[in-house]
Amino acid sequence: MARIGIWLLAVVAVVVQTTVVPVFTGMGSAPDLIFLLVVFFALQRGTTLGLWMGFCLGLIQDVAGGGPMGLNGLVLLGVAYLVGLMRTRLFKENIPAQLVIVVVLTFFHQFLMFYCMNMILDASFAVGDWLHRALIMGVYHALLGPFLFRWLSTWIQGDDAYQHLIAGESQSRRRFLKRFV
Amino acid sequence: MSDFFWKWRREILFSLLIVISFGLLISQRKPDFFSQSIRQGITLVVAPLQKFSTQSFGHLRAFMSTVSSLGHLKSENENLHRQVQTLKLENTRLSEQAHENGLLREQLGYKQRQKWKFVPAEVIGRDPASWLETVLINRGSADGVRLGAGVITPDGVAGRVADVQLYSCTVMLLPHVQSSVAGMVERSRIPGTVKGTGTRWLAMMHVAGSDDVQMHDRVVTYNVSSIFPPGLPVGEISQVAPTENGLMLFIRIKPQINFQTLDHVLILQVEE
Repeated sequence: MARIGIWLLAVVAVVVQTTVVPVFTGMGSAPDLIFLLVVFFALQRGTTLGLWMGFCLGLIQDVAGGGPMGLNGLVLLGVAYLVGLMRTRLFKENIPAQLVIVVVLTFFHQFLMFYCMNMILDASFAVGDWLHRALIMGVYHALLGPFLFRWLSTWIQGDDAYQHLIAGESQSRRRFLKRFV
Repeated sequence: MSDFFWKWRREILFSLLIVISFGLLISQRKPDFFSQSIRQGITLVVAPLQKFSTQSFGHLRAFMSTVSSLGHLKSENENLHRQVQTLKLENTRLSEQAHENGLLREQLGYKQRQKWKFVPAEVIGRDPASWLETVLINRGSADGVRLGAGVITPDGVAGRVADVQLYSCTVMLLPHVQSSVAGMVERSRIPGTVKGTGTRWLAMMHVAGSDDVQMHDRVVTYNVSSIFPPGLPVGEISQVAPTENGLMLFIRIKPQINFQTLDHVLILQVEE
């Protein structure tokens, strides 16, 4: 998939996260599409893209949601790096494995957020707040994650096949394929 | 040397981005030109997209809601007509009282209260996954919004402006952990500081253990606040208990507003 496509999708995700998702908030929390996107691309495309996505999307998410700049970036960088470290050892295509990965990473993500809130922003959240949020978000992500990952995988594979198709072609044929395939 | 960088490129990138993020986060305590420019730049691009998405989704929701309520539109319309008549009468009565109050204050030599004007605004962005209760609204310095201005809804206090951009601003809502407002128990006139806790509840601080505070008492804004007019609803007391040493009271307040469904607000401005 072209990088531009990934970044466009990511910006759309930030807009949806900050305008549409709030309507579906329940029990004081909601799914985090940006987190799911960063996890997916760090798993599928490696640490470097995951890190860049975590940093840039976190920054946009902070501004678009009215939060302090750098908070989400900092936390998502931690998630992307951890995923990058483990990516070769994870069964990425297996749905139960995806569920476990997403839930464990949600707890880790929320723990980093809890830590940053208390240590950097002088808030006084209790461990119970972390567990409460992580549990609810974990459930949301477990329900949503595999579907989103499947859709993104199909999209990536389709585009990869297309890129592969045009890779060995001549310039004129490539232009033809780009226009009509 | 290049082998070293290639081998550790991910770790180098990770460290570099961590340092930048940390720097940005620390700079929020005292926003400088650099961090303000980044925020301004991102807002200029993202805010119009958010506005478009909010409005489109809002229209869709309104349409769905209309379709589902078609059956009882007539009775609802009649009810609303009755309410409008009652409110018109009430408004006339209150206007007369306000006028009379003004005259009396003048005769007694009291300082005239500040006059407020309201700038309506629409919530265009919020991050429901965030631990911080903040929203982005579609009014900025171009509309005369100032840093620290109070934000309310017809139901009560919503928060205050925490950051101002050209065409948008960030509102720190009342439940935000760093938010506070001067409040007062309406029945017994006991003052205190209402603080956000980061959860759905607010806490009222600095109330002595011997003070007269009861469950279901209404808390309103106190007249020492220069950000909000006095008497605006803040919430209702849902729990009162003495602290461990018994000197103070632990008071939990249920906010007047449902912050999850906040979509329109009014920004307060003092009339010159």
